[in-house]
Order: sequence, then structure tokens, then C-alpha cells
Amino acid sequence: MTPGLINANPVVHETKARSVRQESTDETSVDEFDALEIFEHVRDITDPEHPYSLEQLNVVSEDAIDVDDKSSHVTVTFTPTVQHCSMATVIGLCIRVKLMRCLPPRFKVDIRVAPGSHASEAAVNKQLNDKERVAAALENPHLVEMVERCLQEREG
Amino acid sequence: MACSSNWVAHVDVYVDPDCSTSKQVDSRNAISKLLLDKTITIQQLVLVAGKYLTSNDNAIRARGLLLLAELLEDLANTPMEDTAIHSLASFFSNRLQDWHSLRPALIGSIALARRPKRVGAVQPEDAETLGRSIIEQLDVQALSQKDRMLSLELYESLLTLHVSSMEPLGPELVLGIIAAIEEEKDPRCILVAFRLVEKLASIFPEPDGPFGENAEDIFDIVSRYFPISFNTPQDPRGITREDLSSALLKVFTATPLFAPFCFPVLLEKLSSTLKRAKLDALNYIGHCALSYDPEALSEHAGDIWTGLKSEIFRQEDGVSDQKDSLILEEAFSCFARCIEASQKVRTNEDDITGDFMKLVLEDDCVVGFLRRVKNELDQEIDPGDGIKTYALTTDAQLQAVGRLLGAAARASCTSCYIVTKTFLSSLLPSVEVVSPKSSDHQSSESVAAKGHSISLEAGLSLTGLEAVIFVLEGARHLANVLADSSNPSSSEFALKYWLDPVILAAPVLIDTFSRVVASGVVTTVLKLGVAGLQALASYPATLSPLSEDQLETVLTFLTSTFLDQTKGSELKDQALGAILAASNLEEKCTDLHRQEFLSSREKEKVSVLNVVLPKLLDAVQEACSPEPLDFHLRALAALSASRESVREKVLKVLGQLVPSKLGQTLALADGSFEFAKAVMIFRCLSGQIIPFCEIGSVGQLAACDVVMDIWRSIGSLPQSTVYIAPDILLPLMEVIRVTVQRCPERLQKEILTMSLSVLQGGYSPEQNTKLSGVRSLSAKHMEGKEWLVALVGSVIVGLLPSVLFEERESVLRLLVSTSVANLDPVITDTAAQAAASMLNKWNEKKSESEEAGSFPLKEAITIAVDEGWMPIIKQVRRDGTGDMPNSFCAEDAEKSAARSIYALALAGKGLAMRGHSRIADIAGAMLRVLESLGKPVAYSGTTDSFEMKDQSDKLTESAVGRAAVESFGLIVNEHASFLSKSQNAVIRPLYKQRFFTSILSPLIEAVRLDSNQSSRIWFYRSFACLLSGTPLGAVLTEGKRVFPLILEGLSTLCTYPEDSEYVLQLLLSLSSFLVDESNGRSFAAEYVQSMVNRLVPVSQYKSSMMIRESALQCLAAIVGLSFTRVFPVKSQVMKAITIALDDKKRLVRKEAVRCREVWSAITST
Repeated sequence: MTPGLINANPVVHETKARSVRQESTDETSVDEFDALEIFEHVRDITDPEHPYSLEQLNVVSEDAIDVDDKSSHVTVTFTPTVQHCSMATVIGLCIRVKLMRCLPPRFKVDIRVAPGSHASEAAVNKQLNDKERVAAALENPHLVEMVERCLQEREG
Repeated sequence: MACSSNWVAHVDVYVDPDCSTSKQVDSRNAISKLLLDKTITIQQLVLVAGKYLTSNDNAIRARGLLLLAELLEDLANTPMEDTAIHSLASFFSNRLQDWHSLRPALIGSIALARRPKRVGAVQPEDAETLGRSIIEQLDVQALSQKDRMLSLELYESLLTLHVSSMEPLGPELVLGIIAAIEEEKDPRCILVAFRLVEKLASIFPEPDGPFGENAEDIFDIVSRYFPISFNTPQDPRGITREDLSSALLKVFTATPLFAPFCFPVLLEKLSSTLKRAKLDALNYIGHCALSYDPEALSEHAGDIWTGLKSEIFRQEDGVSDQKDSLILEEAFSCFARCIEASQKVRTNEDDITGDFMKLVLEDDCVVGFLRRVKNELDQEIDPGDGIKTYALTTDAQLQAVGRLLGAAARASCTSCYIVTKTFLSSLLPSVEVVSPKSSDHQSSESVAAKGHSISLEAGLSLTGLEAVIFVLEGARHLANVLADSSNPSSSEFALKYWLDPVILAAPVLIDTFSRVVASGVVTTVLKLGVAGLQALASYPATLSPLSEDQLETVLTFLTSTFLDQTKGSELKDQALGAILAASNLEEKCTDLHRQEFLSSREKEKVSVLNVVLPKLLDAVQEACSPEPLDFHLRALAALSASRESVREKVLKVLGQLVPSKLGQTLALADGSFEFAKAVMIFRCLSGQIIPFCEIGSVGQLAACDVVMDIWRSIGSLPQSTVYIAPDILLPLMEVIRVTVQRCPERLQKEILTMSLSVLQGGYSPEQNTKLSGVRSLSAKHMEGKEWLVALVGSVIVGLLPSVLFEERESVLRLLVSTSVANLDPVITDTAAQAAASMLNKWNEKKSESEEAGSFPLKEAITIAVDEGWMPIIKQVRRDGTGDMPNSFCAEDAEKSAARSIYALALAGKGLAMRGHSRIADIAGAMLRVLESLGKPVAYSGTTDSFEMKDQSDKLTESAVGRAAVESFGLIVNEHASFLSKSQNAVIRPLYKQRFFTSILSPLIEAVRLDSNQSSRIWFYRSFACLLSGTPLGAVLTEGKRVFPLILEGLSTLCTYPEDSEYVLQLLLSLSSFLVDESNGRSFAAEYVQSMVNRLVPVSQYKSSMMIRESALQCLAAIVGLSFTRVFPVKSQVMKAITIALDDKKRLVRKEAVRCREVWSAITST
């Protein structure tokens, strides 16, 4: 028998219709980095456990992302589906890797678990924002494979 | 028999499991050929193969049987003896019990069962044996998909072709099929299973027959599939959800025996929350009701009505999304079908209502709605009371009652009659409330109070009004259906009774609606009024409830509404929409009943054509400010868009309107309204009316008349008229151009002769003919009359090549000299285009009236090119300004040089299109101009170096530079208004490709010889223009030579911010190399390093985000090239992408993320 899933039956939420933003093609105006842009990057990450996206599981949402373009700072707050979710660190790692690839290096990215949404909140937060530990995690081929799988473009 | 041993060997090969598949197929085909040729018979084959057919080895037995079965398939259309068929049939029915060789046995049985009579079909008793065997031997659901499919197909062929022999099997057959299809999951099998049930139902229609007795079980099996949920978006077998759903619908409607089970199931699904299920259930209920007996329906009518009602009144706050509105639509059409079905059989003559209609009439909601509307009218009973009693709380629900009545009116003549009779009368008084009916009432109260009272009543009165409109529209829909149907006599008959209530009510309706429009202040109310009039006016002519006079009243009213300046634009648009609807309908009726219509037309029937159009045209004539005129012209364009007859009339009136005043208009200064009006009318004519005239139609003739009128009035202008503002010249030329280009040769010639005689000043309005002894066509004489030349030019541009005229030499000279004169670009450009068109279409054949002999093309080119444009260009090239005394002249010379270059490029295009060799000279001249652009201008005089530099900087932006750069692009690009197919140009196939190939070598050579980096830039710019119009195929074939040039161009141009369009063009060409799998990528693969070197700076090109995006796209496309070349540049590219990730534009950043993703995917491992 395979080990049981952490959250065997997650609630799948309807995704919002993707409004295509009318981007200005005017050369003089500057498009600042904003929450929606960051959200576009992370919404399609696949959950490590289920074939659903983080958006469908309500793990990430546009409101839970703070962007300060001037001081190059991004804060992503995500909500694990269950309190004791052991996948929280993997999800956080996925978000971090994805943003590392999509944002210019000037940004400092903080990734946090939403307050009160996880049993070992402090530990997870610490783990996700410790440069050394992230680097170490990305040395682990199993973890990297898992992360890559989550970041793969989903069909359709 | 010589070949006997041969074919026996084939049998052995086929059966031998060790032989390769291809060999087996070959030998099978060989035997099949022999059988078809009748060299051997099937009996012989059976004898030879006998040992295999009875072998104890299962595999060999199966192979042997498969051989026989496949051969039978091949022999499907070859006659065979009855005895052979008989023995084969009993053999195969026997083999069905051998599960090792089941599949071949099935294939063989199907082949036998499908044999048509003329080549010897299976005997009835054999078919019965076969049927019995399959029923008894096979447990279909235990088989694999393929075998299940075959079994079901065998059933199907037996049921189709051997019905009589299957009937005796009765209950066994039905039970066998039930067992075979139960729990089927494969979509292919399901489709066959559905067809089987349908067939069974038609074979055993009796309620106490084998099917009738099992109807509940059978329905239970098929109803499990409802609603079909089949979500495979792209089924490999091409089966869609719609296929399955329509097949299941056929099963449901196959027999009335299903009725007792069907409606409860469907109603249960209707009450589910799944929208898909609701939609399907509604659809199925409607169709089932239609196909079952009315008695079956009447049992369930109550339930169905309750179900439908809950759907229809469910929407509480209006329709929120598209699915909901679809459900509502479906519910109404289901409702209409039910009514139609319940009225199919009349139990007695007096009662035509039908069960369903009765239910509706007696329904609480409907009765409540009516009472509420009436309550409102009487204003005695507390309206709140009505609301509570009948639970109609929201506007949407009230509206739903209206729509319901509309749907009922749509269902059938009978129901239409009932609805209109019952409801129009009771709804109408409520409508009256809206309109301030008594004038004394109106006058006694202040305007403010009136507005107040309307808005108070608006809620309910509107609902009544809406309901009336829905009913009218429903009845109109029915009328349209009847008018379209091929049996006009029945509709004529029907007219006598079912439209009576509407006809009776028509005067009141018209009165009410028009008063609503006239009185109201609230736009929604006004719109309702217009909608009501539209509903009335757009009945088909044969079934209109309105008399001629009434129709005229309605149309007149709509027209005046829409011409009324005080009304809001929204309302006016709606009124226009109503008129358009009526107009389209008239057009449709004309198509349908052409004969009738023609005869009625003689009687000048009331129609949009003769009621609305004259008013509209009058309004245009009298318009005195731009906005209404614009609106009127738009309306005219919309009306004439679909109707030739309207176009003709519009052209006639507008055409006379303008030329008659042309003289005065032209004399007016810019800015006056008359002037602007003429411009607007010309634009409307050339843009929206003339291009839609069909060739050879009355409309086109009218357009030609307009042009002739224009020329006549130009001819009669006083000689002193010297100036026409370009603002009006351009639309005027456009009208002429658009008309001439589509005319037949005869009319073109007429217009041309006219225009030339006007040009020569020989036109006299009195005689309307050409005079002799006219002024010669030389440039000197035309001084100040260049606009006239341009107008003639606009005629010449669109001429057919076969139109010849004798003055063409002098006309060409005139055009050439006009094209370089210091005049408005509108005039010079048209002259150049006309000259180029003449060269393109030059016909060596002499015109019949020409005595002096033919004038060859060669000389024409000499006149235009060598004597006309070349000298001017050469002069500038030689020394820039030459000995010009002051800067003003220098500027003039430059301008005229730029014009010459433009004209020369056009001439080059014309010649290239007809494949003339002189194009090479012209291209060479262009290259020399480009070459000279980069060189510092050598002044002959006292200018010092500072001034020299200044001059060369100016040249980069100068007109000459731009004209020269664009000249190649001009040659290879398409232009709608000149030298195109629509302008009747002579076009040789592949001329662009040919030109590109021929110019490439000299261009590359010129670039190579030019050592100066800054002067090469001109070549690169013009190369980019050249690429912009050249077909991709030609560019890719020349890839070896083109590709390096693109790269060099990129690296040179990307430092100049003003060259963004050229850079973009080069990038586009580069990317077309990168996506071309056949050979473009192989060229590109050799240049990976240099491509990256160029693209990296371009990806940071400051002034255009399009360029940055395209550069990143190109970089992303490079990844797919050969790994050994791509990998070494990875770090360089990644660095560039990292910068792009922080681009100020979001779209660029997105592209950068995508690009980074593909680049980071390539790793050394």
C-alpha cells in the first residue's frame, strides 16, 4: 500500500477567468512590477501532491503578494491546504525557485506561510528564507526533481 | 491447373504463424485476386484450407478462419452460389461458439450477413440460425472492445438486412441485445448500441410485443447515459459529445413506449444543478414531446409545465451568465415544442387549445401577471397584494412571463391565435398607462410631474409593454417560418384566422408605441416604443398584420424619430436598426417572391425604398451641420450595404447633388460647411457605397453617371478656376478611381474621352462633344491646371490595359512633368502613379484611330525615365546642390529629386510587374542614389567643412534619403490604390521573386565596395524595406547570401534609434529563418555566435519594445539549433536575459521569462 496522502481530498476552487491585461505599448511609460505580475508567475505551479495548480487549491492568491518595486522587495504569503502539511516547505521552495528564475536578481523575495495556517509556521518560514538552507535543498537531486516537476508547464 | 500448387502455397504461408506479416498480406491478396478473377472458387479454397479450419491447434485454426473471413469480405460484391453461402453460413454460425477463433468468425458472419440480394444473400433460415447462434453463444460484455464492436455490428447488419428472419426470435433477440449493450463504456460501441435499440423499437412497435414488455429495462439501460458526459476534447476516433447526444436523442424519441419512463427521468435531471444536464434535459423533453403521441404527453403535461416554470422563473436577478441565458432560451423553445405537440391532435373542433396551452392559461403566474398589470391600470387594488399572492417578485420574473407568452405565440398558429386574442387585449390597456393619453391631463400638470409619473409607473407598465413586444415578435417569428415554407397556400389560409387579433389591435398598437416614443423621457421606455414598432414593421410582406397605410405610418414615424435632432443617439441608432430590419426583410421577400414583388412594385408598394429613403436623402440635402450629416450618411451606407436598389437610388440622388454645385463648392474656401459636406459625401460614396456595387449592376451604371456628371461640371467650370484645395481633390479622385477601376471597357473609354476633352479645354457644356482645335497637352499650357491633370491621372490609374487612347504620348509627358513639379503631394503622387500605370499597361498595338503608327513602349520609357526623371536625380546626385544660389532653391531641387525617385520607383514597379528589362537600369540608378547619400556632399563653392557636415546630417532626414530608401520597398510591396490587381494592372507571376533575385547581387556588391560604415547604413535601410515586401520563399532560397546581410544590417542599424522600423523588419526576416524547418534553420545554425552577438544588443534597444520582444523571441528560437553551437553561448545569452528580466515594459519581461526558461533547460549533462 502506498503511503497515504497528506491531504487526500483537497477542495478545488474555481479559478478566476484570466483577464488579459491591456499592456501599453507606449515606450515612454514604465510598467512597474506588481502583485498580478508575480501572481501570473506562481499561479500555475502544480501542487506536489495533486494535479491541481496552486491557484486552484487557493494556496496562493493575488492579494497575498506584496511588491515594492522601488526597494526591490517581494513578499509572497501562501496558505497550505492543511495545518500539518509536510509539503509546505516544498511548495515554498517551488515558489522561490520559480521567482528566482522569473525576477531580476535585484529583488529580495520573502516567502511566508500565512499566519496561523500551519502547525510549525516559524520553522517553515525560517527554512524558506534561509539562503544556505535553500541552496542546500537545491543540491538534493530528489528535491530538485520534485520542484522541476511542479514547475513544468501544465497542459491546457 | 498450373497455378494450383501456387495458390495452395499462399494458403500455407498465410496460416503459418512464423511468416512475416507483409508476406501473409501478400499471399492473402494473391488468393483474393484469384477468387475475384474466378480462377478458383470458394469451395476449392475451403477444400484446401479444410485441414487448417479443423486443426486442433487454436492459433492455426484461427488463422485459417481469418483467411476465409477476410476473403469473404473481399467477395462482398461478387456473386456466389446459394449452396456455398448456405454451407458457409451454417459453418460460421457454428464457429461462433469457438472462442479461440471468435473474431474471425464474427468478421466472416458480418461479411455474410451484409451480402446484398443481387449477389446472393444469406437465406432467411440461415440468418435466423446465425442470429440464434450469436444470442446463445456470445456473452458480449465479457469480450474485448474490438470483439464487442464486431458483435454489435453483426446484430446491426442482421437487424437491418434480415428483419423478417429476426422477428420470430422476438423476446430472445430483445433480451440478447439488452445483455449485449448493458454497461457498455466504449463510445464507438455505444453509438452502435443506440442504433440497435432504435432498430428494435421500430421492429416491435406494439406495447405488448417483446420490446414493449421490456421497455422499462431497455430505457433503464439507455437512460443511464443521460446526460452524456463525454469530455475527451479531441477524440482520436473523431467521436464528439454531439454525436453521442444526438444518437441518444434518437433512441429516446424512437418509440412512445418510453414515454412513461422518459419524462420522469428527464424532469429529474432538469431539477439538478448541473447546467449541462438542464440544457440537455430541456432539449430532450421538447423533442420527445414532439415525437410521442399527444396522449402520452398529456399525462405528463402538468409535471413538465411545473418543471419548465421553475426553470423560467428561477432566474431571480436577471440572467447572470451565458449558460443561464442558454438554459432560458432552451426552456422557451422546449415550451414552444410542447405546445405544438399538444395541439397536434384535436379532440374536437371547438377545443383547439391543447392540454399544455390550457395549463398555461390557467397558471397562477400568468393569471397573476395579468391581474397585476390590470391592477396597475385601475390603481385601486394595492399592488403589493398582487406581488405576494403570485410570488412574482423580480423584474426578471415579470419579464419571463412576457417571454413565455412570446414563446407560446411562436409555437403554432393556434397558440398564436389564442395568445394574441387573450392577451393583447388585456395587456393593451396597461400599455396605455404609459402614454400620457389625454392632452388636457398633460397640460394641467407641469412637465416635471409628467416625467415623475412616468418613472413611477415605468416598472410595471414597461413589463406590459415588453410582454406585448415579446408576443408580437413571437407571432412574427411564426409568420417568417410560414412565409419561408414552400407551401404558401396554407399560410394564406392560416392568415385568415390566426393573425386576426394582431390585425385588429394594429391601430391601437401603432398609436401606443408611437406615443410612447413621442412622449417619454426615459431612454429605456423610448427604446421599448421603437422595439415595438420594429416588431410590427418587420413582418414578412405576405403575412403582415399592417395595411399599406399603417406600414407607411410606422416607417414614417421611425424615420422622423431618427432624423429628429433632439433625440439621443442611442435611440436614433435603434430606430435605424428598426428601419434596417424592415429593409432586410423586404429584400428577403424580394428574393423569395420575385415575380409577385415585381408586379406589386409597379403599384408602388409601401416600402423602405419609397418611404424612408426619400426622406433620408432630403435630410442629407438639407443638412447644415456636420454631426447629423455624418449620421445620415452612415444610415445611407448601412441601408445600401445589402440592397442594390437602394444603392442605385442613393447614387442617383447624391450624384446629382454634388456635381450640380461643384463649381460653387470648389470656389468656396476651406472651412465652410458646404465644402465639408461635399468632402463627406465624396468619402461616403467612395468608401461605403460604390465599392459594393456589383459589376454590371444598375448601381454601377449609376456610379458611372456620377463620374460623368462630375467631369461635365468640371468642364463647365470657368476657365479662371485655378485652384482646388487638396482636401476636396483627394476624395474627388477617390470617387473617380473607385468607379473607374471596376467599370467595363466601354464605360472606361467613355469616361476617359470625357476627361481628356475636359483636360484639353475642348469640352463645352452645350455641345457635350469634343471640339477640334483644342489646346495642346503640353506642360506649359497646363500651368496652374495641374489639379486637372491629377484628376485625369485618377482615371488613368484604374484603366484596363485594353483601353487605348491616341494622346497617350502627350498625356505621359504631361504626367511626368506634373509628377516632379513643386506642388501638393496629392497631385504629384497621383501623376506619378498614373504615369507608372501607363507604362505598366502600355499596349504596343496601335489604337484604331491613330494614324501616325504605333508608339512603342521603348520610346515611352525613354520619355518618362531617361528624359523625365533620371536627369533630375542625376543632378542631385552629382553635386547635391550644384550651383544653386541659395538654400531655398536647394530645398526645391531636393524635393523635386525626391519626387523623381518616387516616380521612378513606381515606374520600376510597373515595369517589373510586366517583366520588362529596363527595371535593371532603374534599380541601378536607385543603388547609385543610395551610394551617393552616404558620401559627404562636395561643394564646389566656398563652403567650409562645418557647413559640409551640417549638410550631410540634414540629408539623413531628407526627403531624398527617405524616398531612395523606400524605393525598393515600393517595388515589392502591394498597394491597393495603384498598380494592383484591382486596378487592372498587368502582373506577371513571381515578379517580386524575380526582382529580389536580380537586385540582390548588385546590392551585395555595392555594400562590399562601400568601405565607409556610415554610408553603408543607407543600403541596409533599403535592404530592410526590400525584405518587407518580398515573399518569404524567395528570401529563404537566397538564404546563403541574405543571411549575412541581415546580420550586418542589424549590427549597424541597432545603434540608430530612428531606424526602429528597419531593425524590426530585419528581425522579422531573421525570425522567419529561425522558424523555417526546411532550410532556414540550417543557414542559421552556422551563424549562432554572430546571431547572438547581434541580438544581445538589440534586446536592449532603447526606443522600441516591439524590437526588444522580437529579439528575445529570436533568442528563444536559437535554442533549438545544434547543441554544440548553442551551448557555448549560453552564459552570454543568460546575462542578456537577466537584464531583460528587469525591462521597464511588462511584455518584454514576460518574453524574457519565456526565453530564460528555454535557455536554462539546456544543460551540459
